Amino acid sequence: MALTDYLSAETICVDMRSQDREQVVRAMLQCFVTAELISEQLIDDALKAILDRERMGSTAIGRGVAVPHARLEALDRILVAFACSGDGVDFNALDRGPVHYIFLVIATKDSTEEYVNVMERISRLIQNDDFLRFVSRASNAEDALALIDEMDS
Amino acid sequence: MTSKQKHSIEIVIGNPLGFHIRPVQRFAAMAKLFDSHVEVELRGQKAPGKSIINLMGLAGRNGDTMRIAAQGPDADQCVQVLAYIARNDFFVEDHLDTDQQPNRHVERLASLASCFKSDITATVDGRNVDAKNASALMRQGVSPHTALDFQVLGEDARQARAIIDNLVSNSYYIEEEMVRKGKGGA
Repeated sequence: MALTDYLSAETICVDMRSQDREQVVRAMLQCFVTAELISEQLIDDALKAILDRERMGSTAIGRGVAVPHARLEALDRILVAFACSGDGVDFNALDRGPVHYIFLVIATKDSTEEYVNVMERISRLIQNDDFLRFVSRASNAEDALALIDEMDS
Repeated sequence: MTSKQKHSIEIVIGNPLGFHIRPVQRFAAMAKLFDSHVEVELRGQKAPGKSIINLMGLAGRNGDTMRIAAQGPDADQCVQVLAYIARNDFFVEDHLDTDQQPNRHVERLASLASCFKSDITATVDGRNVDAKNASALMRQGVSPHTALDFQVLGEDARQARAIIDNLVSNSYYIEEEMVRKGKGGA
């Protein structure tokens, strides 16, 4: 499996304008709806689950990266969205710094092994300095997707 | 405490989701409260124990053996604290039957306090209790909401106080409470 099995150009936003965490998460969830991957009705539940998880400790893990995530009963698969923000988003990071790269993951509750694999791949990718440097320069979602595909190994 | 101390311990990760974000955040947050250098080794790969992003890169899986090593003046206490939280699923409650463990807050407090040489006394409604004694804390009816004052006396008092403050200020890592209070810190 590869990360590109879980995200597509439709779930990537290289120019996230909002700087508010909740609005950013909502906008990323909306990408799944636009791509017809989830129903509009799931957005509120997913948003609540993701923000509840953030209350247990911010998923901003350093280097300007956050990985908001939740597992949901109502979902039957794993979905990933990615966003870049030039101005940065306040994710209540431990290092107080703004977040510029966001991987959002929503997953079915039955997918432990697959879910761990996806999180592992994201962990490896965000440790790659070249990935962070190049993806911030991607001018569109297709370029960012191609970069993720190339560097996710 | 001497600066040359080296301690290490091996534990097996017992969490279906592995050494993922929440465990890593809690581990690193506790590790940072010690002066010692901390290193974690998993499947032959090493990472600094105070760096969330580097620890996540180890991608520890359920059942993996994790070696926690510390070197410095408080290495012994550091390894004991980190091993305790690792053995207790990093306080992640996804798979815990919380109804079966109503007193986990005092058990966590007493166990972490016991990692230190200092005498640690909790004051509950004007009464003093040994914070290393979970039964005594329970007898005083200490709940996750009870206001406690701590007196910490001894050579490792600074680190002991920092760990206890971290535990108490994060609602003893009782996750339902953390969500309710919306702490947002690790």
